[in-house]
Amino acid sequence: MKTKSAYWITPLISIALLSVLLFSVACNVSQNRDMALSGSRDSYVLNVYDKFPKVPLPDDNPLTKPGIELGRKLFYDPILSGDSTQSCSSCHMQRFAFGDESRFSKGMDNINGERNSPTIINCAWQPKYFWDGRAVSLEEQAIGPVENPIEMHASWKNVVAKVQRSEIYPSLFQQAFGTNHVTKKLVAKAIAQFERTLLSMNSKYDRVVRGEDTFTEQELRGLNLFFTERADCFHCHGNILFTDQSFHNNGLDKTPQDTGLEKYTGRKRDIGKFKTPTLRNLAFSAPYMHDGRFQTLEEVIDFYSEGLNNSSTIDPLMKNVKKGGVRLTKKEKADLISFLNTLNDTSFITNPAYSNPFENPL
Amino acid sequence: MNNFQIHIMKSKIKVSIGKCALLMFAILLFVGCKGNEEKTGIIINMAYSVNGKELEVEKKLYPTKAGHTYEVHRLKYYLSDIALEDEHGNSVLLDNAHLFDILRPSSNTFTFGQIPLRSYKKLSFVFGLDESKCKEGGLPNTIENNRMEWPVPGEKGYHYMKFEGKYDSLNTGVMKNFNLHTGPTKNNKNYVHISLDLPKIKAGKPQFKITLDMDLDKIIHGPNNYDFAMFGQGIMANQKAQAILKQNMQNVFTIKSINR
Ligand code: HEC
Ligand code: HEC
Repeated sequence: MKTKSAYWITPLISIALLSVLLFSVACNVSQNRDMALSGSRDSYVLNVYDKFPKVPLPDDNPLTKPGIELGRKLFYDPILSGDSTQSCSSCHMQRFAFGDESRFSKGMDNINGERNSPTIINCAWQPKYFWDGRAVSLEEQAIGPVENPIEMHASWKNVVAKVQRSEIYPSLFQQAFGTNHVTKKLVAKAIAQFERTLLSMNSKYDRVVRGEDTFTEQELRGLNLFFTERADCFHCHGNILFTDQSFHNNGLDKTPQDTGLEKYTGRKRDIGKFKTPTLRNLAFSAPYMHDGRFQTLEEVIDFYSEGLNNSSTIDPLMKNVKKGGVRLTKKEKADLISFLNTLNDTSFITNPAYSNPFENPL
Repeated sequence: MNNFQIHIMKSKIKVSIGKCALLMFAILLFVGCKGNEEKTGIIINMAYSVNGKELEVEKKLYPTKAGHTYEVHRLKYYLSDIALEDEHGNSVLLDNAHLFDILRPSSNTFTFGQIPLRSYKKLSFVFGLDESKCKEGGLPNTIENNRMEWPVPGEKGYHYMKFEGKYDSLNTGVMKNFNLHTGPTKNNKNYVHISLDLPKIKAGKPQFKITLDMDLDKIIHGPNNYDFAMFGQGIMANQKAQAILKQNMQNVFTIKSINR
């Protein structure tokens, strides 16, 4: 019954079927290999709305639920400090948007550093960390504080041994990384995973962008100042992250005591340059600037309006330095501040998923 | 099986044979076409100069005809609709939009897959972005593009160029800033169509590399004299300044070399 031509169709179909089969087997194999490498784990996806760029995640430290939970515990656990009194959260507190209200955070030995603890907000997108950008990944950053004498003043060897000895951690490392062997690298990886989940995108500004809310007249006037060359904040604090993540001398000092980026690069032209911080959650993150010199937003705006100091490394974008600043009227200053306040996100500082797991187990 | 069923089966088989043949033919055609014309890799490379000498960032003071000297700190800009035109007038699109940044070397060389191995007579591009791209969300949502946003209420889109530095005002030792930010000021079409002639030589294999030169001095001198002092430091809302720069941008790019 079969016609001659039907015979050559059959092998074609079989080849097609066979390749589909082979393909799916191959896929399964590679999937299984991944599972074997990393232990069983549920991967975790950061949900951001479409104005935010894709989150850049490192290939060698994907987000997983057990990894994030472990990182959260380590972030809040004083076990990482020399005398078990300090945790990351001693200086990076959720209620201060993961910054610190004191100008210079006190480390374990009550020694003050010379820089204000920065906030940790939407840091997943950040390419460089610290005020001078000397760390290029969160993993690298997290290694620093433990041994820093003015921070946690411990040795990694002791810390790793303490964590290994603890009752809870080895099994959490097993769940997160498929090994109960604690290492400095894995501690840093877990903390970095937790930090990447610290997303703030529910401010009034975000709601307006999503069409769920509207600005008041005053906020709109402030927005017009912010996003035009009148107040000219957006060239450095623009886009959805409210930071260009670059380094600038914004005119705080004629001769900076802390030379910022220059300390790290050694280049004269980098004197006084610091990383632009985000302007999200300013209501919670006072004091302001790398040395916490300003207590209020009013002081900050006065500075940009008429308090700039000229120097050879001042950023070209500080266009009005010759006049001391952008010279805002009293009303404009109030408008600008009212706009800045639309960037506050209360859900960020109250989100239980970011809170101390030893007080608030989820 | 009765005759009727057999008849139906036969015709089904015929249909599928017909379809198959058609598909095979299409595949052959496709493969054949691809095989017919040889391809080669293409690299576009941007070099920077001032008055014909290699650019030195934040080091050297360059003279302006308005009597100042200036130094360059940063320069970022978009070229878009970058295309090659072959000798028969067919155009091959290389890139929709590319962000160049003098401080990010990797941004100044870009490869765009494979192009037909033909003789090309023109390289054309838009300096800046036309309306289809210069709008909110007009470019891919990347951190680099977001940093170029032109967020002026009612205008939106992206800066075409941010050229930033300092100048010694009338050579008096008083340093001032300059920020030549061009873009869709008040929704004006300030982008520029640029077309550069190529010698009609056949592209080489395995790579055809075109090196362009951007002479920064032409931005402020060619042909109009742009005086930093006259327009002040913020020109995003100043269409007069934008128009001058728009004219000058025509003369900023030249073909520097071609490696076949
Ligand atoms: C004693 C206070 C203190 C402790 C404890 C501390 N930090 Fe910090 N942290 C700071 C200060 C101060 C800076 C800024 C230092 C600089 O820029 O030179 C900083 C910077 C950072 C940054 C960079 C943020 C940015 O945007 O650049 C991150 C992330 C961070 N810390 C995470 C941690 C983690 C994780 C721990 C625990 C392992 C920790 N910190 C422990 C005070 C502290
Ligand atoms: C040239 C780039 C630039 C411009 C323009 C600029 N800033 Fe800043 N801003 C910075 C940098 C850099 C810092 C950190 C400086 C430091 O600590 O040394 C900063 C810090 C701040 C801070 C402190 C944030 C914190 O967490 O400590 C606020 C608030 C601020 N800027 C608001 C503004 C406002 C409002 C405008 C417009 C009037 C503006 N900035 C314009 C670069 C800029």
